[in-house]
Amino acid sequence: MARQRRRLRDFRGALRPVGAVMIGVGAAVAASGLVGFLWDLVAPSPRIPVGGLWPCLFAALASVALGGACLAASRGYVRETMSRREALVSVAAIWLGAGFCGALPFVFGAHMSLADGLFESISGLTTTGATVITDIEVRLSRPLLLWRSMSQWLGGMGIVVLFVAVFPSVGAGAKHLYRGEAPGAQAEGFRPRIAETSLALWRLYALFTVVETGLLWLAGMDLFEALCHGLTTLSTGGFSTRDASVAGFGMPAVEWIIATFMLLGSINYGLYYFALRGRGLGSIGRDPEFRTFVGLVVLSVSLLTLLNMQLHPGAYGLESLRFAYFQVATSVSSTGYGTDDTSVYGAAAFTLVLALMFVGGMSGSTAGGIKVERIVLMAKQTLAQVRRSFDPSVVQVVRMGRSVVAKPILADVMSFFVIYVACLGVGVLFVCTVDGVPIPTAFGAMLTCLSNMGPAPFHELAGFADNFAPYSPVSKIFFVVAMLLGRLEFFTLFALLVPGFWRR
Amino acid sequence: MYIVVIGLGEVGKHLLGVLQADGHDVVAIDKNPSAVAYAEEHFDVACLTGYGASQEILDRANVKTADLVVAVSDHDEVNLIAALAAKQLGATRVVARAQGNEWARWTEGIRYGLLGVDVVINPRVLVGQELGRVARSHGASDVIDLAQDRVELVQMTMTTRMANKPLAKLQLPEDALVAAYVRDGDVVVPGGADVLLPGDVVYLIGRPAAILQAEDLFSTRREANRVLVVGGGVVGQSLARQILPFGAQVTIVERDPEVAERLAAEHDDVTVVQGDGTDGDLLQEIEIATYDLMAAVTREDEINLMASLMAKRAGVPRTAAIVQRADYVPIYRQLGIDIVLSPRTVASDQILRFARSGQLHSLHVLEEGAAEVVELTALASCAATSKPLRRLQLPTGSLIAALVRGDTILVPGGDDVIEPGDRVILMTTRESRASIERLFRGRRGL
Repeated sequence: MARQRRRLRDFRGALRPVGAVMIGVGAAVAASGLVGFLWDLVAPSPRIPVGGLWPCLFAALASVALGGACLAASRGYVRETMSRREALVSVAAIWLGAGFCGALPFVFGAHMSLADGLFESISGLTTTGATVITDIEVRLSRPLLLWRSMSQWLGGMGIVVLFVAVFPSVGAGAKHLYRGEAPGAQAEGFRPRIAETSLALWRLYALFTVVETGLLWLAGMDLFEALCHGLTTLSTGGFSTRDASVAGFGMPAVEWIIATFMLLGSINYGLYYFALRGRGLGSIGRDPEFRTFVGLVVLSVSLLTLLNMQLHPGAYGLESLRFAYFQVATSVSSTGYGTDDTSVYGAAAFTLVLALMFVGGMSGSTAGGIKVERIVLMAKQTLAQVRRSFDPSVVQVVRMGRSVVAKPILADVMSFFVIYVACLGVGVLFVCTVDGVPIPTAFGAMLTCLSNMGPAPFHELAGFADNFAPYSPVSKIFFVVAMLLGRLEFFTLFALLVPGFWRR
Repeated sequence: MYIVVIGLGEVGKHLLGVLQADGHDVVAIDKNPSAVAYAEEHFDVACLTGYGASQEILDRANVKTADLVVAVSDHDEVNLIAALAAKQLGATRVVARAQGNEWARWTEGIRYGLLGVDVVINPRVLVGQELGRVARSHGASDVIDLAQDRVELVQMTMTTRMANKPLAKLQLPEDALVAAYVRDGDVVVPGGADVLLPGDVVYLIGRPAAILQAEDLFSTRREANRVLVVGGGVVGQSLARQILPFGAQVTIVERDPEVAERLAAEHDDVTVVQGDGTDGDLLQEIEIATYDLMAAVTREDEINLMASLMAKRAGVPRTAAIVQRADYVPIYRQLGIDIVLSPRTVASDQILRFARSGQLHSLHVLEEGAAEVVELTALASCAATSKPLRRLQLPTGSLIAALVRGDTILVPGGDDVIEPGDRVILMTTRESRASIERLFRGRRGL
């Protein structure tokens, strides 16, 4: 035993960022509590229950204490530059720690079990937007609503990215941390130093959020709810303040705005950055992934508009287009707001929506799913392999736009897909076994968790409403893991499961 | 500063580490994917794989907005072309490294404006000159000239002589100061109460004549009059050129007969021996024990190490070696070799000077940029003039080493006053650089 222990690596140094992030989450919870409380004082709303300040403050206090403990435990073990392994441990622990701290307000303030609270919190941070709360409008006061939206906003661009931006540490450690969370090859490197890249990303993200909130407010939404939706749209999260989601407002203008910003959120942020930095809007249009993405959206919207005319008798023209636009935007960006009743969808419309959920947004965006770039690369690589079967001596090169994609990246993409499908399969079987739900229901739930989407298709088959409340605690924890896997794109978490990772 | 580094060899990698610590935005370029992967892994810099002199890669690195472009690949031609191209594309300042002797006769280590490149650095010549100055010193392990040779900075290692005394009690000559010392890797700019311990690396600064006297406090060595040089390359020749005017006797051992022949033809005041510097019989034959200093300056680290160890064993009082890999330096020191210089460190120290912009003009960077010697001109309106130095609130970690007033050099004491127009030479650590800059910033009229 003693010999065994000596051979394990020491990861205590990796706890420092974890502690800092937990304290940060505590601060965000406290801020949500205070802002929600003050808002209640200044502009009470008959629709939203009052209270929730103290649970938030307690939760904040507990988070700060936990974070402090992590900082204390890491003292004396922090090395000058963080190694790749430490960074992976840190990222995983940051997400778990932040998820736990974020669950406390729900546990204290909404009388939820720890499993439920964790589900809600991780669903928020991973921008999944699936919920276990059946009666949001009765149960959640302003502080909790605000924190729920805030958690998605923080998780959208990435807690680690934010951490790197706020605490710019010298060295490659920050880079390893950054990659552990957002392994998109394109979002990085538009500033030489990773801390500046992170800061630039967060600035853009905050700017978009403010603009959307303002637009929603101008469109007639209550300012508080506009803010909550602003926070959850750009992060492609999908938590709403209404039980009926965006449909609950019944305002077409709001739906157009939200749908547009969901699409904006699923575009690579690097493209915005370069466009603002003097390359012009045309540079976005020249990006091959962007072209594919736009093509996909246009095609899906047109198809769904046509299908909608058939599905909703009486909904013609613009209304049909609006439903289709919103549905495509929410699916492809993996946000998960709803305006349309998907239970009336026929096989064709449903398949389209499922396919969009699979694909997801662009790489380097806040959207979930497999990502357009990966799908394109896989298609091209497969085509190249097929060509090789009849033209073995021709050198096959896979290109994205004009640049050639390196072999290791292709291998990465392929193994990503394999892991994705394997997780989906294993998860479906697991949930079926544990909770005895029909296979399509379990499939819908797993897909929505892995893609960080939100609402679960096929839930009505098991007699469930469109939320995760009926599942057993074991399954909920399992979904939590699935959401984390989807958000961190598998490799970060799976690396921790390889035995060699921990050994010296 | 936005800096582009082309070439990720020893110098390039070393530069990345230091530039990153200084907080610069750095883009690194190399054509070898594994060197790029190494840089990606270890430094927080953006990396590009490709031929550093190509238009396309320079465009991608956005050199037109670069404040500094450093070309330090292993090929002189690539460096020069890359630097020229970068200059044409609009880079503010370009620095290239050249180490060969083929296309230019090198007698100076640094040339400004050569072929249109702002700065061309030949680290081999620089290292040869530095060795020459060390050979002239009384036991220093590194000597750097500042302010047109009127101020000298020397590095010495503390033995038990003079150790364990507060600096104020040290009987240093008037025109010399202890500028800094290095203990456990930390650079300290000392105060009078600091005590030097055996093993500390000490930097002395002052007038050359006073520095020689100061060296005698720390060491019993004299200047080397008989010098044996193993290796007749650029370094060896530049070393010989540096010390011959002082009447030193130089013997160069060169393995390659052709090179040896050419050396003998070019330098009639040097004895050229054709043979292997690690051959014990040969060393006996030339009576190695009669030399004051043996410098092993071939391109191969192994030969340099063995030759200097053999010389040490044969009883040569001072041995010097150059080493390509900078991380070997502590090992050489441990093995008892007195003077260890690395052309790559010399090159990157020189280049770092150009990465430090602002009002301060960097004269020399020491200990990988942890401290530096800077020069500035005191303006009439700045806070530092017109009061005795003892009343000047200099930030800790800094020290005024010398004042250049017209043609005279003054190593100041507490009662001296900085006059407007003086050039002030200061020693400062990385941390206190900004406060120094503030102290000497002129007040701008509203």
